[in-house]
Amino acid sequence: MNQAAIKEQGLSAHTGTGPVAQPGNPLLFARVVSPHHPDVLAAFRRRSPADSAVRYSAPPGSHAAPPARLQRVNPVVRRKASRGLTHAGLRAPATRHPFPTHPQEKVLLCSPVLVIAFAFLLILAACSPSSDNGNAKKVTLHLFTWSDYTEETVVKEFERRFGIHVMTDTFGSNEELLAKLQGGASGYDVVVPSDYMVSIMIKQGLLAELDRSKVPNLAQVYAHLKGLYYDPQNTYSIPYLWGTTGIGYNAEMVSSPPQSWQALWDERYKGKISLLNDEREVFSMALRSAGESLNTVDLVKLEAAKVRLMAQKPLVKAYTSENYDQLLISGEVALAHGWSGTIVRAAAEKPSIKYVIPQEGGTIWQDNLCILKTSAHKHEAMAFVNFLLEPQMAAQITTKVKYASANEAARVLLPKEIAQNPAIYPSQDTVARLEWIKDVGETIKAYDRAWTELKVK
Amino acid sequence: MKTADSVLNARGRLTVPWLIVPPAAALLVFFLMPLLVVLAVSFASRGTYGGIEWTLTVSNYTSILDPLYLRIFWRSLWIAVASSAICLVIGFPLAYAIAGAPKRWQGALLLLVIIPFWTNFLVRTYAWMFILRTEGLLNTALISAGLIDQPLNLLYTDGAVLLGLVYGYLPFMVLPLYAALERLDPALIEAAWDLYASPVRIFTRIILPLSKPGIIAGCLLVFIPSLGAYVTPDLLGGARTLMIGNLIQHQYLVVRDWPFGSALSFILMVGVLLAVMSYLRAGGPKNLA
Amino acid sequence: MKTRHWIVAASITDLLFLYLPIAILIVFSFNASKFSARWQGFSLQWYAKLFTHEALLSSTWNSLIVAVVSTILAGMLGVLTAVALERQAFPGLHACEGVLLLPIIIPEIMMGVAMLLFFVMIGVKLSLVTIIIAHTMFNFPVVALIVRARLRKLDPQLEEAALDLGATPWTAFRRVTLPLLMPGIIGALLMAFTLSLDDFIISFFLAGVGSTTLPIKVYGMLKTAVTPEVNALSAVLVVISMGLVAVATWVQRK
Repeated sequence: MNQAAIKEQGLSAHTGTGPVAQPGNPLLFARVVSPHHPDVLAAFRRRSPADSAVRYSAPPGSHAAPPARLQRVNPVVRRKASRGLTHAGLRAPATRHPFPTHPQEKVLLCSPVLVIAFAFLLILAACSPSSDNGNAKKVTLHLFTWSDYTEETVVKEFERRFGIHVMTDTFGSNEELLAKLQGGASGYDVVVPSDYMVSIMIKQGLLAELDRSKVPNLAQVYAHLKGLYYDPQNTYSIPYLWGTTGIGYNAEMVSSPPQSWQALWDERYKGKISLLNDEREVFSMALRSAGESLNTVDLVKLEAAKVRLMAQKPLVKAYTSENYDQLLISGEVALAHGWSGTIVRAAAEKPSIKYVIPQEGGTIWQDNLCILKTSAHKHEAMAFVNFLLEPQMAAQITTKVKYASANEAARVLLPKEIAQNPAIYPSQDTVARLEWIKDVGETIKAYDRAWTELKVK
Repeated sequence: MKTADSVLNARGRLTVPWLIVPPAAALLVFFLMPLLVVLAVSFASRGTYGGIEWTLTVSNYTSILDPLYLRIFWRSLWIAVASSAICLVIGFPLAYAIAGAPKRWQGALLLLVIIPFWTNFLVRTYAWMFILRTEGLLNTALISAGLIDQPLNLLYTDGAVLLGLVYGYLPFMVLPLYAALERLDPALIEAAWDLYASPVRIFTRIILPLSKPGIIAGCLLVFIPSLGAYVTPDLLGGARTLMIGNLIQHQYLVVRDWPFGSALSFILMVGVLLAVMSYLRAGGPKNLA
Repeated sequence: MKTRHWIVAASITDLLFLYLPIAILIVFSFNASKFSARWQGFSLQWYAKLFTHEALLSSTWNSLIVAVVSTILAGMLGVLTAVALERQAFPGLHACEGVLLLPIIIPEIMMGVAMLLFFVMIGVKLSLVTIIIAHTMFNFPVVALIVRARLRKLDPQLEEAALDLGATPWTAFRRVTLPLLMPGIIGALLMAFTLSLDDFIISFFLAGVGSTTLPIKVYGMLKTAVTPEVNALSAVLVVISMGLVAVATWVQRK
């Protein structure tokens, strides 16, 4: 994005006339005309009055063209069928009505068109919201979460105890989650966004206000994890799991354990370093290593961080957020910039792998349980959220995923090697050095450009 | 030859092109209308929280002219050309062999080409990473065979990206090639042999011209997804450089700048469309399909 | 003939190239280690886990449903398109040809986003059905392209002969054209099936509640860890499909 564009984009914010830009206009999404979700409609209409100027599109189905009239062969050209073709199944003229169409043949001729039309009708019928075959007896809760983020036995236990069926779908990043939900009525009940995404989703009006009397286990959540910047009163979100970003290293391959982010600039590890393929995380690392806030909106500091990252690039084997655990285990890299739980899981596989939060501090993040405004089963969803925070259940989940539970009471129930693991539960001193990634507004465009430049170089 | 029509038209009856109605309707409703939506979005601007604001602007298009983005376009272009060329070279003998095999084997052989692709694409890519990495299968084998002393740096290179693309899209080359070659009359080749034509001459004068539609279809089917690829450069290239696909995906799923992502997509689409059109013009309009 | 040997050798190399990663997947589905990077002994645990991993199984099922249904729809639309473009004259034929190329040309992510916006606009809830529609849309032009390539090479006189002999256009098509087109159609359908089974990006945007397909599931698993259950699943799929091919070939030969 060139400078002019940045200026233009930033204009509304700078001039400060009126409220800063309409909160994430749900744009076309606003025209959700499903009669089954009047609340969505109302919410969106309120947000974007301009939308009313646009006509609703025609209902689907108009395209399912009726089978057109079949074409007939001119009887004039008909001659007696030869043996070969008759044998191949062609009708001899004598067996047919000369003109117009023999009814049976007409059906035959129509069949491909009929089949297609029928198939499309079927699809459209299935498309319509009414086909949402809600199981009358048993409520089904739809959970949309990070992959492998819930322990299956925990979900099973919930289903057994409450007689509610839980269906889980998964996503790979916060932005993917948002992309899916911007559509309005997604059908999901409970979602698990990270901190900054909660604030975005609140501003987009996607989240339902929680009835906290139905989530008594919120009382057991660590005080310092409640009321965070993105949701000061925990009106919309309940803390679930949290973790940090640091360096995973293979003790057999490094001369001394890394203490600082500077280790990622160490020439000795050339080609043995992996970084997260994540714009904000990589800049956080570079900014913190220079002692800056990782949410800086100062373009000069950002530029300096970019220059440092470009100097580092020849040392970097790969930018990956997915398989750095395997890179560590296989000895492909000695140092991996990564998330705590993933590296702890790799350490369980190969004991020489350790996790450290550098002294300059890094990122802390928290994933939260939220209920969508469009959920048809808010009551059951609350019960589920509360259930996931029960100390026993929270402990089971943390034991599996190796990310710290937000529930304080769960910690004493954990096996010692998890409860006492500083990689999972860092000390208070360490936590004090960590910083949350926040939405940087329009500055994200500058981050984005710097990231693109880094990659293109 | 428009057989049915000429027959009907001779009697002065109206021709109803009913065959095209269902596909055309489907294209209109489920494809062109969605595209129009994106076109509209590409002229909007990004909302503060990543939504779309309907203020008309062309800035999404002007910012593409930035050399930064042009370089990404250029790089993607050569990678896509290279992967199509490699697919053609290694896919041709296979397609030819299948087309020349006994009829009853052809179906099975075609399936054999396709079956690897019924396993998940991401999993296959992981298998390649396993082969290519420093302590991976290939390096271990080469070292124990005494061919090299130091492990080669194979993974996270442009070569690995090319390999991944070729592997991923090879069947898209082989299938249309097979479809074209299968129709090749062996008598033509036999006749050429009888006339003492060299194998090269037979290939360039008979096989190649007659399989041209298959070659063009195959190259298009490989070139286009290669151009827009984004998972392969990420996983096998270590995300060290960007292709257009990565840039677009980044706009949609990371910075949430949907208008700019839409503009990039449109430019990419128009670019490919123009390239295809000019290629068809040059090679004669009846080449494709 | 020397050339012949050379071609066969090249083809076998190609097939080895295609099957190498698959072979490795299968071998490592028996690995005891959770991270498939190192060999830690033989184990069948991932197969045991696979058949209890509900999410993985249901996503595989979803993928198969989408692939089968969208391939059938794409096959019908594609053949129809190919025949229409080759055999019927109508206004806008060239426009149709151009538009037909678009689904093949545009980047997948653009198609995904475009259809997401569109379905939301017309108030259709995302589900397996929306994925099927999208897959049909990107598949049928591919089918049309391949089938048309073959149709163009067919001698129209064959059809004319059938018509002259009193066949209706449909009968002529079914008894004369279609059998001759079959190799092309089968190839095209296989391609469509493969494209559908493998698609991640478009499916991702259009998947709704309970319609997670296998690629989406695997992609999500990358975030935490690809467990060897996925290897085991791939091995099972490959073995089953090879078995089917073997049976089909055997039946044909009899």
